[in-house]
Amino acid sequence: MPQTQSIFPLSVSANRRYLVDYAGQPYLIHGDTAWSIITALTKDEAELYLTNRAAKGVNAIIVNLIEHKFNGPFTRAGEHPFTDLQDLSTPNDKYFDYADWVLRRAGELGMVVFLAPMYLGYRHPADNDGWYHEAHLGGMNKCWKYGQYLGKRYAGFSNIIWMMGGDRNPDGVVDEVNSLMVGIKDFDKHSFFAAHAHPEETTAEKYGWGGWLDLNSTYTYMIVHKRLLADYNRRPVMPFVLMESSYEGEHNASPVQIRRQAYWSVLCGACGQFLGNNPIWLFNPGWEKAIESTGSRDMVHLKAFFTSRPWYDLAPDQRHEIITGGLGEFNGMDYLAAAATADQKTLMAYLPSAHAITVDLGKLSGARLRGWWFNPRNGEAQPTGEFQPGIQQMMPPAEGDWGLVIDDKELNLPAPGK
Amino acid sequence: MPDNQIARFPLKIGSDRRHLVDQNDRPFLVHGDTAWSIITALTKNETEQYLTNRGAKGFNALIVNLIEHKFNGPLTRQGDAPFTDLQNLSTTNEKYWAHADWVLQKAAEYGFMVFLAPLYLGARTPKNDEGWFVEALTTGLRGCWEYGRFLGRRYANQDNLIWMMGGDRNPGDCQEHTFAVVRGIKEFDSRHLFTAHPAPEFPTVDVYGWGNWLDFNNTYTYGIVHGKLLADYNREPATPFVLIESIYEGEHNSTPVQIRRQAYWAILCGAAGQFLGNNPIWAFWPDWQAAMDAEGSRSMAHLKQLFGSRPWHSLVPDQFSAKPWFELDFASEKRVVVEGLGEQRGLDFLAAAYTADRRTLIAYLPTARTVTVDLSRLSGETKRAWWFDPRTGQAQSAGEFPGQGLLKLASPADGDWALVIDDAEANLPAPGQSLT
Repeated sequence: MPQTQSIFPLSVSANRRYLVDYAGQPYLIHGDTAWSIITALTKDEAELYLTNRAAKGVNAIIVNLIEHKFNGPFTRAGEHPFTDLQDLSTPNDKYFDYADWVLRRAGELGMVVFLAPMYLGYRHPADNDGWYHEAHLGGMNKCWKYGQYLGKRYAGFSNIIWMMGGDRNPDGVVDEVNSLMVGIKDFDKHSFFAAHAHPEETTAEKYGWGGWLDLNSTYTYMIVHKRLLADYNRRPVMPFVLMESSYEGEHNASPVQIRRQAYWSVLCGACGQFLGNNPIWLFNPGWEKAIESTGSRDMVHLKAFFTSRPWYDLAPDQRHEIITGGLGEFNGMDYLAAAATADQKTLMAYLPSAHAITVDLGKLSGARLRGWWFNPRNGEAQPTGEFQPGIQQMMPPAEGDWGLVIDDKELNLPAPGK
Repeated sequence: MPDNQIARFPLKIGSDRRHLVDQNDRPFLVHGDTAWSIITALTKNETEQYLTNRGAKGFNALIVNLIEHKFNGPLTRQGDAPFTDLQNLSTTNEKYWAHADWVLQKAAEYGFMVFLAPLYLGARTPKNDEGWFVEALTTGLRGCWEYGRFLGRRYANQDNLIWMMGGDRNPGDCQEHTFAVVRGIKEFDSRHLFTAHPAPEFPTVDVYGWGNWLDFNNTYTYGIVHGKLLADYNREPATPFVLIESIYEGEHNSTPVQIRRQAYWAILCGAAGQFLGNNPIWAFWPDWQAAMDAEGSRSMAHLKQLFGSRPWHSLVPDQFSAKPWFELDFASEKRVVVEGLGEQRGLDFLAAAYTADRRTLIAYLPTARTVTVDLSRLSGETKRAWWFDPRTGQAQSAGEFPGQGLLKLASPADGDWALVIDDAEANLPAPGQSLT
């Protein structure tokens, strides 16, 4: 069981590429998506979900503090967040007492919560997914008061990252979002701020005004690796997380799709990623069964893969200087992502489909090199053998997607995933 | 190639606002190739060499930059500049335009409709020198209007063209200048359609839909191509749209199947046609002659044969209803193809479309798989199915099937495949064989 005291609060690494925990250890965001947990679940159910995720190594969850359309706004005990649901400045303590329990329990289980205090909701004709209208109607003063209430209430929590927005850019409510942020910061001086924009929009561009954004995020349903690399190459450097891409159980997502976007994220320089699953994200019927989904099990292997090497030190091989052949379509889904540590002693790569690749081992450090193929479906690694520096053709051992690790043999590192 | 010779230009918008038609109201499937720099990069002999090759492959449309800038421009091979003062678009140089006329006329002789960019603005780059964005600003509104009037007068009777404003860019600060050129053209030319070529990922109607001159829409994306195509199909009011650009052969590590799938998706997602692009051909960089028989251009010939063998202009995309995925009630969805659909946000996406009378279904599978088709949603007592190999253009029978149930069909081998299911009573020839 993680020792919360030694983990939180998190901070940003000196090179602004990743988060570190309170003890200074790199913190790979290994997230799961639980938007509606506060309103949709009983305590027992929330406990079931959280302990399942903790056992799978999840250390971050996305939570909607005040759910609106999706199994909200009432808790299962019938408490609503505001005594007047049109007025954000009328918080109902009983609602937030329950929310506190969820947030605290997540912290005890070693999870940082990306907490949406005013989920704006996706733009569509009915426009009732989130609190956009209530924010707009209430205006700046009410948003500021609500922010102050939250700041006071949560200043003592160490496992919160405030996540402004929510499937939406702030257009139309920029001042209200700003007022909420100011209100929170009046009391909570330490928690980070992130944001959740409209899909395909860059958080740093849509929420980068005002200088309060600490963490950028990528949110795309398109060619995921391209968006990730664009955020990696953005200046000034800001750590970024793959906040959302396709959810398991939606849009005919395939298991390899869920894996590839997650592997791409870290190999394209993100400081972590979130798995999403329908029905889990809103805890619709069937969610208890879905908590053992293929995606959630595959993510366990992903974490084992990356944490077996200095993942935080990886720089993307975006010019394809190390792996030079078998790269797949640059605008496609079979794109091979590779990254090497700064000392060039470890190469990590992910191939969405099995095909021959060409590796220029001379670009890595080490008189002898040793490699492993890593099966992201079962977490098993098998050695590729040893190599001299030079151009090497390699072929994954079987069909499907594969991870690849090549180390300087002198490091004598164990098989990846161990 | 019969289509090419029969089409009577200029083109018009079809009455159902889903495709383009010729002067006899015959549907015209835009089957294009990309020759941006042809006017400046090639000699006359080379131009004929290119047009002959493309005509023989069944292409019937070209993208052409009327005044090339950075990419093998702005001078013709004979050294003629489009303007005597290259900073001023109103100073047209007759010798340049005489050559441009010749190219357009040659294209007409070979049956090509030309999507002609009169003021290619160019992708936004720090140097901002790919197109004429800066010169348009320097020239000013009056000069742009005069340039437009020059074009309108000169080309009003050149039947085989569609004006294509923009060029890898949204109008931005050149909106008024773009409008001035459009108005100048329209003073003399009311015969030709107008479209536009925006920055990638932007729907053309969203960024060029102002001013009431844009006649049809285009899709231009490097993203999830079928998603953008269906978004343009589902747009209201309905507007014909062409897949004006996606990945070019010879760029971005594109694969042959990538070039094919985006083209097949285009037609099956309701587009009025599509363009193949190839590097080095688009700019006629060295070795362009060797690229003319590249795989992309050969497989496009098969695509045209397939769609030419069925009433493509009546195809309706087979899609889920427009709801968030988590709100879909799959039991009440009325799709024809129900399984084997691939990732809906991926690139193995199966696109399918059926004719309005439901007597023909065409599906494209970027990868081999087993698909399930609900035959009750197609008409005909007996169905006849075919597999069409988009790499070779060969069709093979997949059998005849009575009944109305769910039919499972497995593609015959690895790779991408098209599936055609007809009402057997229609007694259509194998897909790819021309209708008589």
